[in-house]
Amino acid sequence: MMDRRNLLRFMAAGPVIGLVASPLRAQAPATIKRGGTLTVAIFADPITFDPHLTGNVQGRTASQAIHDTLFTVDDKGRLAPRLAESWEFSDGGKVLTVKLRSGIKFHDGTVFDAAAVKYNIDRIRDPKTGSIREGELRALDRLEVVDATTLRFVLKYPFAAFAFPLTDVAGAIGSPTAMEKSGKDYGLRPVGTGPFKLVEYQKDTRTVLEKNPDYWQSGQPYLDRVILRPIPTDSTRLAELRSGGVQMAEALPLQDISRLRQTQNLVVSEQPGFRWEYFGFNLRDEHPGRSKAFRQAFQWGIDREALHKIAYFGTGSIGFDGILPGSPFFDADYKPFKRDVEKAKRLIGESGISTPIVIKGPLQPDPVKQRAAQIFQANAAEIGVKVEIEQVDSAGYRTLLQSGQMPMDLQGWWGYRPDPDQYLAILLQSGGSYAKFHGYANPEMDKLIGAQREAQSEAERKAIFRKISELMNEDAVYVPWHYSSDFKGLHPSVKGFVHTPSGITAFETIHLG
Amino acid sequence: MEEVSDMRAEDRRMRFDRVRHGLRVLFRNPLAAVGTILVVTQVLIALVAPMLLPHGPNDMDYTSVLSGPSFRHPFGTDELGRDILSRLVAGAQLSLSVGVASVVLAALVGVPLGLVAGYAGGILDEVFMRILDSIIALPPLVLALTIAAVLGTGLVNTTIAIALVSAPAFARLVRGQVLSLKHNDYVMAAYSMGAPVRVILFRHILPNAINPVIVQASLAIGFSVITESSLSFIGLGAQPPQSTWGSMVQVGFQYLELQPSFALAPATAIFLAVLGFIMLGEGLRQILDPMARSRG
Repeated sequence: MMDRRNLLRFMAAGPVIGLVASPLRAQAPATIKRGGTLTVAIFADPITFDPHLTGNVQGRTASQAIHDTLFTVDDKGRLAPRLAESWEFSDGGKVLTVKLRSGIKFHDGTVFDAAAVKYNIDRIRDPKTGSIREGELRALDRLEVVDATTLRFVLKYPFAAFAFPLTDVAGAIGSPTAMEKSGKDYGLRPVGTGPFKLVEYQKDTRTVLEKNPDYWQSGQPYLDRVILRPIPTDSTRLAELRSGGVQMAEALPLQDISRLRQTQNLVVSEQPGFRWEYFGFNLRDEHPGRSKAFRQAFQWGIDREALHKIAYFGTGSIGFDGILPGSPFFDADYKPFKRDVEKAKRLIGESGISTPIVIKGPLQPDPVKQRAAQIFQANAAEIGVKVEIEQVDSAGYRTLLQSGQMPMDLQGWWGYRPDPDQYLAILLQSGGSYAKFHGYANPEMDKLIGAQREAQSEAERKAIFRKISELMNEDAVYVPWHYSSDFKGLHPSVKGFVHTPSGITAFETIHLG
Repeated sequence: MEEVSDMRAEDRRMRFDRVRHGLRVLFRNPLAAVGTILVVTQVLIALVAPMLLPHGPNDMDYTSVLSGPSFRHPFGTDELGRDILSRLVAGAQLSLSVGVASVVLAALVGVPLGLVAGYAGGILDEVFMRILDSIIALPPLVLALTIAAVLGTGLVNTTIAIALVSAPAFARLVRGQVLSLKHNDYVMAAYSMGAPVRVILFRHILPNAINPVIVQASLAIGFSVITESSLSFIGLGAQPPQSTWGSMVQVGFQYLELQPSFALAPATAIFLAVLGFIMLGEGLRQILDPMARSRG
């Protein structure tokens, strides 16, 4: 399995290397077929193409085909240039100076420059825009335009990971002229510098993207068109891929993975470190989660092996913290817990909670989580805790979580972000929204979160992130159990595909044969 | 002393004869016969089988997940390695209980409403019937879904939702019967003798109006089983690890290619249960219908 994946990465690397190294570049065009249409079966409709408003992976993917981002992440999980050519931190990590590429034009012919970047960042920070990315830029004090290609981000406090959100939609730059003209409708009339333009959008049916012939990365894109077709049913998406109705399908059903890998006429691409899972507890007085011993019992009581094998059909890997494999801060040897039912029972006994202990856990109709929740339920029963699963819809789940009244979170997960700070601060810092939902605040933890932001070197941050993981597991407000992989299915003719941990596909490197 | 015990024996014998006669009538009608056999078999399985099966419905076996039919697991195992046959039988208990309970509840609400509305007539009748009309006007499944969503998830709430949706049919049926019965001589006689309304309704009218109610009840159980399955299919009914046929189809549907019997077995059970109750209801209608009986 690894072989095929590595081969895929190698093939993907082809055109990228071709841009940088000229000897390779001379060979590249001979092997790359230009033109053609790639049809992709996606899980949900993109809904909007406004990068500052979009929420789901599909919307982020489509927005980033239309808009380039300032930065990107390389295959080692480190910050890499895109619209930004180079950057530098100064003043003890409080000032980030960015040099932009020049000579790039938006699809509407207007010029991409520092003023356009400032317009976009200001748009995200403007409450009237209602952007959900506003929080990602909260460390920014002010943004100064130095000259046409130079920007200075002045931060409120030293923050090593500040630029990472700018590798995703928060750093996607649209044409200020088009944004002014279209106003609220910009999401349906997006204008970026990206490799593709939006030519047709029918909600829940299809999205058609067409090649931008003037794209600044020479030679790219190779495809003429990309068609995104939302198909929510797992088996239908797969059937379309098998029949050749689409050449690419996202979110392959996990139970089919091992069987599909045996299939000759399609390629299964796996990217580990796509998201991590946890069982969360509410620490407020009216819930059993108020007792630290009660929460810790689950660190020892849950059967991570069974969860991995059953809930995820053996895909991905068992996890013990929120640092995903693939991150420079990940440590594969960090395995602090082994199942110990006796120890878990003892901790429940020490918790001082009067028996019988009953805890309610709402659950959305997600197959993985339905399996996981029932294993958790069986594990909890073994240590004397009755878990009442209550099926709810996603809106009901969110309302309950945000009200701070959810006794426990059977559904907890965070998707990949290039820097762990992007979600650990939300989950663990006393001001973070998820910390509040769970009633969690620990000054010691706040100090650690602050320290890793100020730390200048990667090694220093790695050491602090380990301390954060240890304290998170000690407090056990979240009991982590898994790192999951993202699976995409490809027709063998699809070449040049790079599987990123974010699950966002860059269509400009793809070619058909 | 001897005489009394003789009379009791006589009484028992007569009762036994009546049951035997009833069964003979039932089995002379092919629809009713097949329906009865199907229903009785399913009820027996639901009651007896759990004691005979080697696996508990919630026993997980992580080593055999989504395995196909075998000697150990005749219908294979589900996504958590639980025996599908055991869950099917446990599901039979829940699905049939919800079906019967919701219909009994619906009858308890609907029958008195129909009796009162039909007997009282006038403005009370108008108000009752227009309210019921407005309920009937809505598609039953959509209404059940809405009520279940408002009440919250779980089988008890599902039962209540189905009962509320089924009740108007009982009320309408009984009201129609009362309208034609209330001018009969024996009712007038009871009335003129000063019998209280309660006695007239429940002693004199109800026993004569009950036949169509029994038919309706049997048909309604079929509808209830289907509705419970539908609600459980979308997650409103049974909550994990409970198993009902509908929730099994819902989960099994995801693994249709890998383990077809996971979804097909409960789907077949739903089909057979609904078929059984509808055939029984249809057979009973033919037997109890005075017009049909005179022909036979």
